[in-house]
Amino acid sequence: MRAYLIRRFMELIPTALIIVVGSFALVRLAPGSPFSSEKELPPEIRRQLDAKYGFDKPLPEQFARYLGNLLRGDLGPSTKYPQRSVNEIIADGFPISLTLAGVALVWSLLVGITAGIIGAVRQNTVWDHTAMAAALVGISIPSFVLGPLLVLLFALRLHLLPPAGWGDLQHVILPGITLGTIYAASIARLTRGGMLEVVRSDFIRTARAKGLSERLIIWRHMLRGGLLPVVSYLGPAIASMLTGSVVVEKIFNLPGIGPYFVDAAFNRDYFLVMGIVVLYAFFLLVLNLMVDVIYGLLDPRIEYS
Amino acid sequence: MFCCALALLTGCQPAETDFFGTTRPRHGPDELWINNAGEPEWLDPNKCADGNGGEILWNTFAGLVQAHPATLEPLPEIATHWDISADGLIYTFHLRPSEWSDGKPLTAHDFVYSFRRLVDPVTASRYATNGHIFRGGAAISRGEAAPETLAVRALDDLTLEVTLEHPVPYFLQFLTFYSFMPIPQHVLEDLVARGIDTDLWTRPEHVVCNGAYRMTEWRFRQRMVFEKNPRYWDAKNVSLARVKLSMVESSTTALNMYAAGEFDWPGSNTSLPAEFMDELSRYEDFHRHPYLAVYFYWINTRAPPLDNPLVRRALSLAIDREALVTHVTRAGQIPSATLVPDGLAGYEAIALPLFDPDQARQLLREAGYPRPEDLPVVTLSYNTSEGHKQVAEAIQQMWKKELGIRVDLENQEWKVFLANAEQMNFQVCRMGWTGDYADPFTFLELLTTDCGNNHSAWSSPDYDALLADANRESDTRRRLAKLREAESLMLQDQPLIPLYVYTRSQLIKPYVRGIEGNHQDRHPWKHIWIDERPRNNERKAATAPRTEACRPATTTAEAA
Amino acid sequence: MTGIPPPSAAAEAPGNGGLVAGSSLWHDAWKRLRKNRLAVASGIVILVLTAACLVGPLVIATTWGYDYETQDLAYGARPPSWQHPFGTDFYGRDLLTRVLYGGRVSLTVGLLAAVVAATIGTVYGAVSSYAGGVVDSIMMRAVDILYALPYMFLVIILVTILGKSLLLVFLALGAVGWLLTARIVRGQVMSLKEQDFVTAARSLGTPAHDIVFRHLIPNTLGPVIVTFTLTVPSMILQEAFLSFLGLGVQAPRPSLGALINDGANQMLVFWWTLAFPGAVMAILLFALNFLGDGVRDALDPRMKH
Repeated sequence: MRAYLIRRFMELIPTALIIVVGSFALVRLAPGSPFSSEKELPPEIRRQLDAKYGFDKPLPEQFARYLGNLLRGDLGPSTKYPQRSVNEIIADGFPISLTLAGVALVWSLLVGITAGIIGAVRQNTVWDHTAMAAALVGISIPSFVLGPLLVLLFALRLHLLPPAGWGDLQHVILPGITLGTIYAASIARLTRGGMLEVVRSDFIRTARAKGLSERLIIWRHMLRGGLLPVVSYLGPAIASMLTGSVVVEKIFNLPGIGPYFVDAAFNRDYFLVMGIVVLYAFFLLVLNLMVDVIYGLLDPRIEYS
Repeated sequence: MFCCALALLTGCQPAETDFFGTTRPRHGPDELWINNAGEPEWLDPNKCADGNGGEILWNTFAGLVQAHPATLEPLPEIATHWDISADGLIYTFHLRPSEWSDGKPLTAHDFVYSFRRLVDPVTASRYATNGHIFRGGAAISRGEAAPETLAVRALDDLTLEVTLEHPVPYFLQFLTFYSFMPIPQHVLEDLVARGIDTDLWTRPEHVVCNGAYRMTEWRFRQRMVFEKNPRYWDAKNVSLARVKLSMVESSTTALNMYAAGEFDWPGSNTSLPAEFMDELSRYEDFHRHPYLAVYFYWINTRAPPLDNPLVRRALSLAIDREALVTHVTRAGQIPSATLVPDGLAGYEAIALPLFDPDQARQLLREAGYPRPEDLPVVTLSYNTSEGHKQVAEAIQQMWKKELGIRVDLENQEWKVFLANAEQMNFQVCRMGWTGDYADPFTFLELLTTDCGNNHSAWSSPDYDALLADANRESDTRRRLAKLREAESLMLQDQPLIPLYVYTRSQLIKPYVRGIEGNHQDRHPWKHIWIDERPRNNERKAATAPRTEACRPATTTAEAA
Repeated sequence: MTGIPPPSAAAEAPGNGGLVAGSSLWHDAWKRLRKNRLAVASGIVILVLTAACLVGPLVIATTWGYDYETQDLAYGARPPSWQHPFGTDFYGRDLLTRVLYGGRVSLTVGLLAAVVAATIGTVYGAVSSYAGGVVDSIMMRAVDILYALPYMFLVIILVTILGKSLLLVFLALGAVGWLLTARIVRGQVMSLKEQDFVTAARSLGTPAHDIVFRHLIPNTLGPVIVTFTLTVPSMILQEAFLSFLGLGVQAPRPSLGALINDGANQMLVFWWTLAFPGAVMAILLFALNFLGDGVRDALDPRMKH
């Protein structure tokens, strides 16, 4: 296990490097400039701006400098918000996205796994159909529809919660539910599907034959095996939850980092895009590593080679 | 399930009220809550180039002159009066004694510093061209001369003399623009001495300003809080003690927050979506005024078949502009077949038909396309946005219906769109142009050969000469006639297709007073106050500006 | 489009023992599927929907003379009526026609891309997991890298280089669509490959590709089918996002995703512009899910008990 972990950690380095190189290339090869706008810039001014951010240097040199700064923890300046550094921008927004992700995660796991278990244990009953129909509704309502509907109902009609903005915990309830619902629905479907795979497998039959209680079978055996697909799903899902949501953060005007995935790309805010990619990649790699470890915990037969 | 959910929610619409959402302020009478839609790029007057920053700069800095809140006429601000030389080239401003927010005296040198900094290529201002109005400005921007050669000097601490490149009839009005605000040289130099990046001087911990408000809190992408600047020269006439500016990008979200009373006014930077216009315009807190900006389509005059002016004119005539603004854009925009809006600074728009499909078909025949099928497919590109898509889809159909020509729509991501426009890689593309000052020149300049924003590749020495001539003309009537002649010459060739003049639609809570509709959508907070008295039934009662500065000038101001 | 074609490799496999029982499997499965009334009904719904999308616009055009693009601005945004059962959109176009026409694109893009993604993902995940060791590491880190690269830039560059085409839409959707399936299948196979029937097959000298295609993949079909049904709606909505980047279906041609997007913007004023496209998508998802569940159950020989 220890050898496995060490090897996995070593793997992260080349993987991260490829991600950084690839992203840098993609970001810089796209047409457009951070300084273009409806009003054309005089060439001399354009040269000054390029020089200020080092965009006048050859790309490999720029990349070397970027990588050097990155290793020192400096993510560079923002061209769209020149009075702020990318570090500052992420430090401002990340805690907010994190809070939102927390609410969304709790909601999606609670609702999703419960509905999934009900569906699997009571397969093809009214319970199953109700739970799965609810999950389908969750999947088929995109968050840009669910969010405004929740605002309309809970904020504008019932006046229970604020319509948008950031301040205290009540500001993240509606966005958390909006963001979590689509994940909850997917988790419910995957839990049910995974458990059904296990439900008829030999070891459950053996367990039943041994006379173990149904409750124990559900918790000890079915859920463990059945959670494998959910755990696989959760790796990338949590990584994208942690780095915020473009749609939900816009609808509820949460100043998190989610919108940068799209806006920074539209603005060609090169360093901000890279900063967000690096952050996401970090979570993705770490979470997928955790997922691999959890596989072994859920199913002791899985060996680490 | 969408049906059920929606029926449930829209079915229980409350009875029609006169106002959209709550009408009671959620704060004291000395506060205003508005939306700025987005974070500004720069809060540095010299470098700012977006509306998000402009809204803030106009309220935190005070220039030589200020614009009247309704008419936008230049009025004294830091300058109490000014003299203009007979040839209209030299302006001498006499400044009132005033202070920066840190108590340091504000002098003519601060203006000299600012104007030089504006054109200095090292500053790399997007609006450096604004400073080309001063003699020597353009050469400095090109890096050919030192910033000190700019024809701007402080005769003494309270007298400033500027020399223009050529007479500019709209100069004083142009001077109200934020690019020309003073810059506290001492603050920037202090930062340099302390080894801090001078780009950070506008952050609340460093900023020093001279306007009616001062930023005290800046939570990135959440809110900014501004407090009244007690050292502003006219502070006694500033009513609101605090202004909270939120950063809500989505206009639907902004509408919700307005309804819930979290904004008193969504602000000039929030644009209301077209779909909601019919609904919103029923409310009493809905206001609308024309805006000095024109929506048009550039035509690439190099690429066949649009290299033929007859084809271009046919395209223009085949657009039913009236239908476009009534049914598509829906915000009361003024349909226009000319680039310069009618009545701008006394300019009389050229009389052109807004829609004439018969003549359009005739022109197309003359151009050698008796059968529309012969005309190759034309591509119309626009940058991704609901509003641009709506206009493009409607026009595509109009061209198909009236002329029978085939048009492909192509939406592009913004920066890709700009790159394509710059490289003339399009046939027809959409553009909007906001006038920087109330003069036809701000629009007509677009078509000059040297203008970097001219994406039509159309060039006419006659046109360039007429504009240059007009600018040497000191008589307003003769000058306007020359400009008109130039526009008429240009429209004969139709390098662009004007569609309409913008309007601004606003929601303003009934207790907010002092916001005047004007065509640049500038609404200084210092003129705004909260009136909690029950409203009388008079709808949108005209509110006279209250501050001293806004009364008709009693000084020796003599606008050209 | 009569449902979900099972992975082709498994379909060709002749029966020679193992957990999945040969060619009669498909016969038996078909028999079991036909008995599942919900699944049959769902299949019929999908067929009807497909047929409606194919011939509907033509029928409407010849009967009522509406097409998807001709505008009648003065008749814009009217609620449902006898002339226009789904109402009209902002430009006075018949919404029913547009929904059916848009369904063509979305059904093709959504189903086809999801099928391709499911196939690639399943094979990739199973191979990676069964091979294990260095191969698994490299293959899974490649998945991580694809997850982390800034997707928007990838699309923008693809459009710039290759221009716009429907093929590129598939490519852009497919580039990321298969990643989740790959990770889920890999997780499942990690557990399966240690189970008795696989070790038995291995000790009998069964070649690796037989084990993967005949023993492992068929046993992951449950989660794969669930993932497939999750992928379809996200592909349909993703297509609309691609058209923001200039790829995908261009106005005035509709797609279901684009109609739902437009409808969401207008839902508070013109509810029908969201309700009808949304309902069509929801019906499609429900039918796909129940059919998917049916296929899964039918393919599971243990379901006989």
